[in-house]
Amino acid sequence: MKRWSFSWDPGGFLEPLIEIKEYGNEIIITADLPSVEKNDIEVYATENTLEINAKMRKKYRFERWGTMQRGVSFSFFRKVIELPSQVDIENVKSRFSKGVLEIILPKKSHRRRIDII
Amino acid sequence: MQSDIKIIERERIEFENPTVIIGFPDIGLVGTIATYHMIYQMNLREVAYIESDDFPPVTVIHNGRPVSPMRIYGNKKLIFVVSEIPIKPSLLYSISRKLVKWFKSKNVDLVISLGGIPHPRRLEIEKPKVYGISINEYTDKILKENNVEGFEEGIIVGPYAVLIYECMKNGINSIYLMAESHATYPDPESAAIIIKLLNKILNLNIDVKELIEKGEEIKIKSRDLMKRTETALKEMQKIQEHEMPMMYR
Repeated sequence: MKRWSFSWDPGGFLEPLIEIKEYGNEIIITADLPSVEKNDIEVYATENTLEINAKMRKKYRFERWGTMQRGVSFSFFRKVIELPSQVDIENVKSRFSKGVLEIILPKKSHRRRIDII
Repeated sequence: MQSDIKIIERERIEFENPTVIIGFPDIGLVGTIATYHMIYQMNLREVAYIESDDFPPVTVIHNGRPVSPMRIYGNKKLIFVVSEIPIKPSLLYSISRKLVKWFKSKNVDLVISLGGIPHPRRLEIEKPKVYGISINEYTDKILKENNVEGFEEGIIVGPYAVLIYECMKNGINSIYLMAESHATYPDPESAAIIIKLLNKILNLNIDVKELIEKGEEIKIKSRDLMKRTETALKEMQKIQEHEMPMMYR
């Protein structure tokens, strides 16, 4: 049975919106990280997963929202992503612009061009 | 089977050939963010709401009171239609037809749908461009006078696709404005661009400073609606908008 998953955590974490695009030889993942500075982002990759942790510039507390939510101060984004293919972690590239993090992960594959005869 | 959609008016308003602005959840939540900002800035009242037994069993609580997730705000001259839930594909036709019938009964002069058009290089765009779809010479003139580039050939999918077609069929002037935006991330900047254009078209004076300043907070607050909208758009094959129609000439 699938567990319910929320986009927030009582520990003050929010799950960022992400987009995963898979191409022939790479996977491009973007994450929307509003209120985050480049230096406050940590990205960890394994061959099968990508973990994004980012500290927000300020704490957000939505005092009129819900029941227990109203007492939570949100100050981090966190997301662990299962990658659709194994990646070469030595050659991962990333950039951060206008609140959006982009990570390019080359696939660890043995793809080779086939000659047409 | 036709869904039973009802528009319940909270008060009797003598509309004076109003303009309707629609902000349904769509690409980048551009329309939703823009309409909410305008409603807030103009301090408009909820004048009606939409309900149906076919809606998901969702009631939104605002200011401690339950309200319908689909509501209509306005005054004599302007009407805003908003939804806090993505509209299921199976309800698009029923809702659009019901709204158009209601617009006709209120002698609506113009219906403006606000949405986004995904740009794959959105991060590199400083000022998102707005494109428009028009249904007749009257609305062509509105786009032309406001330097809005028309959308000549293509496919549109989703709530506005049905709505603009229903407006055309029923002789209601209608335009669909689409600002370049992030596809799956809320885009307050694009919403601000579209509000500035509406200021010109409708001779309004809505300030977007607060919208820009609170952009990050708006993005945080609208993550869940964006996620649900993305799922609904996938279900209605929104991806078709990138396909080429059969252009035989």
